[in-house]
Order: sequence, then structure tokens, then C-alpha cells
Amino acid sequence: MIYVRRSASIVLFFIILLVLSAFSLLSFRDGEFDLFAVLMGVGACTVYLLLYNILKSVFKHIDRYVLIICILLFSIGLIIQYRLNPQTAWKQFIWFCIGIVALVIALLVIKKAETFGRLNFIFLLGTAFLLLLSLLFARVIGGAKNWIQIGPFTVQPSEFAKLLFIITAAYYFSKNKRMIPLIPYLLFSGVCIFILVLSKDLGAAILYALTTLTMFFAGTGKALWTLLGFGILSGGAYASYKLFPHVQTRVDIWRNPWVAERTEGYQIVQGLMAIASGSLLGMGLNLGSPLAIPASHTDFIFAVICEEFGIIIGIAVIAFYLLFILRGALIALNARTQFHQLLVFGCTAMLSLQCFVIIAGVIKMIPLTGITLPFISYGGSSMISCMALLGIIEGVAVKNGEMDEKEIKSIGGEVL
Amino acid sequence: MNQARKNIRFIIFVFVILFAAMIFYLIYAISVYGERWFVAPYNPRIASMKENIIAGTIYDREGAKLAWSEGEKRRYTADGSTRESVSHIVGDNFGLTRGAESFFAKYLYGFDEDAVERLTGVLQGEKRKGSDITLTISARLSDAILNTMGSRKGAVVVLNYKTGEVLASVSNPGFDPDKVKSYKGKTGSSVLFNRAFMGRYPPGSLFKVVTSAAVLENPELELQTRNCTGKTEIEAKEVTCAGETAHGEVDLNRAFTKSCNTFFAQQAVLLNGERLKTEAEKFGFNLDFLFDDMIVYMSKFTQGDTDIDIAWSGIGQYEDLITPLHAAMIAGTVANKGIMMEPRLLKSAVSPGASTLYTLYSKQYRNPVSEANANILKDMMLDVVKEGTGTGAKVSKLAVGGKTGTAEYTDEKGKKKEHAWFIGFIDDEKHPICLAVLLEGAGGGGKYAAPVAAKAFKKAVDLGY
Amino acid sequence: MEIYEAVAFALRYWFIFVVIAILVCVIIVSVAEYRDKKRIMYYAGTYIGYLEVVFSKGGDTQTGDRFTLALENEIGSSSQCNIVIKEEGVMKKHAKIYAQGKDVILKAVDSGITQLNGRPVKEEISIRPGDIILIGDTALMVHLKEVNI
Repeated sequence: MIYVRRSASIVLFFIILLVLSAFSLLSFRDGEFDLFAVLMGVGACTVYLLLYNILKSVFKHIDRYVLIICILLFSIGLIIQYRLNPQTAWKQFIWFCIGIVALVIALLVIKKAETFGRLNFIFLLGTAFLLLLSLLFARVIGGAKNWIQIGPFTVQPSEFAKLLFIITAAYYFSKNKRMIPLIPYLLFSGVCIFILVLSKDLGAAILYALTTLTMFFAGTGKALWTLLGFGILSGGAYASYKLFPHVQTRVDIWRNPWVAERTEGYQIVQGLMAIASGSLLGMGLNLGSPLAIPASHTDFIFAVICEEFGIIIGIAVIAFYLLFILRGALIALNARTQFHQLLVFGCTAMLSLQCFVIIAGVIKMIPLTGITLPFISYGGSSMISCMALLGIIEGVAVKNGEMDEKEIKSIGGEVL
Repeated sequence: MNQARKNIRFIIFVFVILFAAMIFYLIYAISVYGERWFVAPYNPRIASMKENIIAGTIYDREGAKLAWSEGEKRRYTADGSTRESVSHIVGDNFGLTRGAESFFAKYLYGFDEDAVERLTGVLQGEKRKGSDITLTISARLSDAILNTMGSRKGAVVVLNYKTGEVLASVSNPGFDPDKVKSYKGKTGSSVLFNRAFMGRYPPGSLFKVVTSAAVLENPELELQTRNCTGKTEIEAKEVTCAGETAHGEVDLNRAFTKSCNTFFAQQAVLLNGERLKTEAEKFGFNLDFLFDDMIVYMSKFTQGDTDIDIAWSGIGQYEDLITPLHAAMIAGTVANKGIMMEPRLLKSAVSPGASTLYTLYSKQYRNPVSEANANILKDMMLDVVKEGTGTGAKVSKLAVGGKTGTAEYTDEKGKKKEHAWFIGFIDDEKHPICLAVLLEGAGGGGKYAAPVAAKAFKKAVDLGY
Repeated sequence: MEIYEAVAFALRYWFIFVVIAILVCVIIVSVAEYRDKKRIMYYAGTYIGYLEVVFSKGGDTQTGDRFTLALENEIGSSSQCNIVIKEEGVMKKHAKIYAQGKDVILKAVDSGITQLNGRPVKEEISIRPGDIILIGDTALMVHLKEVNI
């Protein structure tokens, strides 16, 4: 009984083709040969090869396809970032490399540790601390207070708080089945969400709220309480609509952005025009006008992808995120302890919700919120925290793999 | 654990549905709204494309050049009056209006070009050329109409009710595309505004066509005859006929011919608001017109809460609004056996390599009334012109039918004024023409709008349409 | 730069091709992997351990070969058995190994040599991990899963 794990090398090969061809194309977009583009492309490919092969050989059981999907998403992001501004692409690349370190650390931590036990309480305080930090000390950028300046860098503490939050949620929801011990934790999450609303980071608030609800349902299965939670959430959303003018603006321009097409609705109108210009096949790399869209390299990166690469590739990107979710769910289903199950599930859910909320906002399916598209949007904190989430997922995958291997060995098989 | 497994499966299923919905929404939104978003004003992409491409020529249906490129510049019809009359349809080169220059930019700038054709073109050193398009409008007809309108603001739309082709759509005042950037401020934006497709006015007595249709479709509710004394009271408010003329004993036909408000007001109350709304929506009110060839604003019909509101809405006041194009389509429906055709503006598009990219095809838009009822309405409208309020629209040797409208409104200064409306058709297989005339604030429909319609019909038939 | 524009315009198809190829690959492999895994883990669930050949006189069976043990096993040289040992001294249907409650029982079926840890097996005997079974001239070590069914 020999179980051969399937290699993702062929996909990696295609990714390398994609990256090299795109960067070669970009290298002569200005008429003169741009060496930096080619270097970036080759550098990225080298890092991918190293990353994939080293991780594969050191950790025998990582989920290779999840890793490959992330590499692909990052590549598409990198190509577009370079097209927009070579400097941000370079910074994005650096963040990616730092993110790899975060990934490995997270992987090792999960591999070694069990449930963290008492440490969770410290994580709770850490989450609250980080969120309060951003409420109190942050600069206001784009109407939301979530960036803190440290030297030459701006960081988003709420992104890191995400990690701790998921870990604590997984711990408490797996430990307690009955409602009463859970109430303090639920109140705590309510407080966190409230702090986020006060910071006007509505996207993160929604994200935390929805993730808590899904993890709660997955962990305890109490449908009625979950529905109650939804009700409270909707009530809160409605209240914020009534209370906060900036929420009202968001909802108004969601309904009809064309009325205010030069003022508040400008961003979403330009985004829609960009997507429409791309049509199915796209306008061609570097042939569109994405710079007309505000925040094109962060929130609206999906619109740029649709404009230059076409909607077919836009849909493919959505499909890749969906595959990512499905594979993450498989890892969660295979987990051996409830804590790990909820942990992976929480990470997967958060990444997928993030992806859904921002893409749906850009295509005007739901009101726009300011959150990042994982692995593709420019943002150091976003990249590092997403890589860390990936590390957690891979960590549990490794644990699963080891248990699977033990079982197979016990009947005389081998895992290759 | 197993319970958790089931929950996880369930949530993942929900996620899959959400993502699938997102994909479908994206595809749907782009296929339905994509072109509209692209041609919205202030789209920087069209502007940047223009720098590198020689845009194609726009022809009218008789082959006259309406807009063409000479080197870097865009040129328009030499004759000033013709240029102004087709200005809203042709549009401008700066994305400030939504005419053909923006709406059909896809053809004019060659967006759908073959990649191979493009490469070979580049290698041969040619500058890229866009495709030429032919519109359905007639420049000569448009020019004649503008002359007839003179200095009166408003719109005239002429359609072929069998095929849906727009033969002319004139919005007065028109503009000079060369000087489009100079129109600024409030008067400026009024000039650039296409009143034919986007101007929403109260229909006034025109709406009686819809009310009559509702009566015909609900025969058990018809008021057989009524004695009109020039005014009637509904809920302690008065509804009067024009000039408080008493029309005497009227049935549907006579009330329609004389445009008797009291009859239709009472009929509206008898029908009740819901039936009126249903009938209006059958005719296309409250519907987002997603036509292939043009952007038309939505016509509105609100169901009144009280009887007096319902009465007013039944005679085209209250909150009723309609665009001149839609009004013309309604006239066409009556003439075309109850079938409303989708208005078409693009006749054909031909690529630089002389291959035909597009040819006009007719699309049925809605079927609001049965053929039998449409014929009844048609006879009533023929009577209006023969001996009713619309005699001003008579043209010798042509069977003209129509309906006048005098829509009350209050202008910005608070004065009560009236829009002059006339919608009509020629009941002749060889000249399947219908039209709508709207003159802003001009006064009585029969007095001012009907004669313009007569001239328009005559010119159209003279030109052979 | 006109050449750039034309090339970029043509390359759209290439990019779409690559991305769709990757998507299709990932989907196909994921589905295949899922099926494989499911099948294997199912078997891993139903099997109780394995026998490892520690001595063989040569022929078809080599030292180190492994035979997975299902809930019920027939050992013999006939190909109808689920553990086939084609050696001299192995009868067509030689022995049976099956699970009974918490125990695993070795039963001699035919008159061939069946020994457990050097002692002949008369009828049935319970076996444990680490035991050496002799079937004819072939010696096999017993490995059992820790948690039995």
C-alpha cells in the first residue's frame, strides 16, 4: 500500500512561464529595455522554486496545492503591482519574503504546540491591545483609522490581531460546548468589533463578526444562537447606518454611484468602467488606464486585474480562492483534534470572507469596504498576516499528514 | 467531532454558493451593463484610445457623412443647421454627451479588432483605423424638423414602427460638437441634455391612450357613457376639462377624441390605481430600458393613494413622467397591431477591411395590448385627427392618427405652464411612421405640437420613408 | 510604442491560456488526490496490520515484502487467497488469520507447516505484534495496529 503524494511541479512550471513571460513583456513597455522588470521576474521565480522545494523536502506533509495557489495569486498580484508602479512591486516582493519567514514560524509553532492552554488569555489581551492601539494612535487614511507609523513603515495592527483572535476563538469554542462559559468570550468579541467600528474600519469589523459567527457555529453547532448572533449583527449594521454618515454614503453610492460620479461615487464608478473596459479578454497588459481608479493597488486591485487581463482571468482568480477554501476545508475535516479543526477552519473562513467582501464590493454586489485582497493587494501587514494564516493551515496539514502516515505505516504501507 | 464536521460542511457549502453567486453576478453585470459603463462620460479610456486610432466615420441612412476624422481632428457636417439637428444623436468627441461617438466607440475605435489584423497593420506601419458605422437617422429629416421647431425647446422623435428604426431624434436646443466644451453652467448643461431620450415630462392627455387600453382590457369596468359638464368633483377636489368645456354625452370613443378629462378621471377611479399601474407597466413604465443601441431614462407611473391622485394619474398628471422616445413607441404600438418594437439606432458597421461587423435586426420589445384592442385604439386615434383635438396634424392624402396632450406643470419660478404634446402615426403599410412631438411650455398640444407633427410626417413621406 | 501594444494585445490569449491551464490542473489533481486519499484512508481504517517477510528461501517471495492484513485473511499458494505465498511447502489454502473481538487469531487450515514463534500451531492460537509465524519455509513477522477494531 503505497500512497504517492501528487507533485505540484507542473503547476509551478506554468507559473514560472506566466511570470517570466509577463515580466519580459513589461520590460519593454516604455520602448527602452527595463532590466529591473526581468530581474524581478527571475527573482520571483527563484524564490518560488526555493520556497516550494525546500518546504516540500523539510516538511513532508504540507499541502502543496494550497501553497501553489498562493504562489499563483501572489504572482498575478506582483505582475499587476509592477505594471502600476515598480517601486511598490519591489516592496511587495520584500514583504512576501518576510511573509515566508512568518509562514515558517507559524508552521513550526502549530506543529509543536497543542492548544496553548493558558496562553490564550494572554492572546485575548494582546488582541484587545492591538485593536486599541489602532483606535488611539492611528492616523486616518481614507476615512479609517487603521494605520500606525513606525519609522518608515506603516503597519495595520488589526491585521495581526486577526491571528490571535482566530487562535483564541478556536480554543474557547473547542473547549466549551455549553453556552454559559462561552458568553464572556462572545462579549469580548463584541467589544473587539465595537472598537473596530469606532475606528471606522468597517470592513475589519464585518470580517471579525462574520468569522466569529462561523467559527461559533462550526464549533458548537448551536443554530439558534448563531441566528441570534446574525440578528444582533444586522441590528448593529442598521444602527451604524443610521448613526454614521459615512456608512450612509457608502450605502448610497452602492445603490446608485452614477449620481455622484465625480465625487463620492468616483472610485466605484471608475472601478466599474475599468472592469467593463476589460470585457472578456482584457485590454492587454499595460494598455488600460487603471491609474484613474483611486486605491488601484490596494482595494481595487481586482478591478485592475479585470481591466488588463480580462474577466475570464478575474473569474479564474475567484475560482482559485474558492479552491483554496475547499482545500482548507479538507484539511479542517481531516484534523484530529477539535482545536486544530476550528483553527484551520477559522483561518480559511477569514481568508475567504475577506476575499468575498472586497471583490463583491468592487463589483458593486455589496457596499464597498476597505479591506485587502489576500496575497494580491499591496500591503505589508496584510501580506505577513495572510502568510501567517497560511502557515497555520500548513501546520495543521503537516500534523494531519504525520498522523496519516502513522496509520498507513501501521498497515505496512508507505507514504512518498 | 462528527457534529463539527457536518457544520463545517454546511458552512463550506454556503461559501461555495456565495462565490458562485459572485461569479454569476459579475458575468451578468458586465453583459447587461458593461457597454453602458464603458460609454459613461468621463471615461478616460476612450480619450486615451483616441490618440492612437483614426476613428471611423458616422453616416446617416442616406449615406451622408455626419462625423469623420481628418488627421488628428474630428469633423462634423458642414451645414450648421443639420449639424445641430443631429448633434444629440451623433454626440461629441470628449465624452460629455452620450451620442453615437461614445455609445458606438466600440466600432469607431476598433476595440474588437482581430489580433492578427492588428499585428499586421502595425508591422506595415499603418495607423490603426476604426470601423465605419451607419445610423438609422436621416439628416435631411432631422434638419427639416429642427427648422419647424424653430426656437421652441423640446424634442421630436420619429420612428419606423415596424422595424423600430429611429428615423430622426431632434432635441432642441442642439449643440455644435466642435464647441462642446464651451457649454458650461446651467444653460450649458441644458443644451447638452438629450431631451428626446432623457427628458422626463408629464404626459398629460397622452396617458389617456394607456387608460383607454386599461378600459379595453377590463371591459366589465367600462363606464358606458357619461354626461360631461366640463368639470367633476372627486374627493372634494375638482377635475376640469380644458377650458371647462362641457362635452355632453360621451362614450369612450368620443371622450378620447375630445380628450375629455372628466370622463377619464372617473374611469381611472373606477379602474383603481392598481389596474392602471399594471397597464402602464405593460406599456413600459417603471421599466429600466436596457436597449442595445441607446440609453433611455425610465418612465414613471406611481400608483396614487387617494382617489383624486388616481384620477390625476389617469389623465397623465400626478407623478406620471414619460420621455418623448417612449411616447413615440406607444404611438407605434397602437399602429403596429399592439406590438412595441425596440428602438434601433445602428444600421450597420463595416470594418476597415470591408467586412460587415453588424447589420440591423428588429427586436420585439413588448406586447402590451391585443391586436383587436390595438385596432380599436387606432380607430380612436384616427378620429382624433379627423375631427377631434388633433386636426392640426392632418396631412392631405395620408391617414394620420394621433393624440394630443397638454401637460400642466409648474416651472422653477412657480408659474403654471403647459407642455404641448402630440403623438401620432401614419396608418399605411408603405409609410409605417410614428412620432412624438414635445414643445416645452408652449401651450396646447393641438394648437402647437400637432402642426409640427404634420410637417414632420409630410417631410418623412416626401423623403420616401 | 506601437509594437508593444500589438504584442501585448496578442499576448492576452497566452495569459488566459496559462491561467486556465493552471486552474484545470489544480482542479483535476485536487479531485484525484481527494479520491485517492479517501480510498487509502478507508482501507487503512479497515485493515488491522501487516505481515512482513523476514526469511524466505527465494523464489517469488522476498525478504521485506509486506502483506496487509484485513479483518479476515486466507493465506496460501492459491491465487484465491488474499495473501498469496507461492513457495514450496505452502499449501493451496494453508492458514487463516482473523480478528475476533480484541484478539487476532491464527488458524491452521491444512496439513502444512504452521508455526508460531517456533512452536507448531494445532488449531487456533492468538497472535501478538512481534510474533514470528512460519508458513511452510517462509517466516513472517506480525505487525498489528495499536488500536484494534
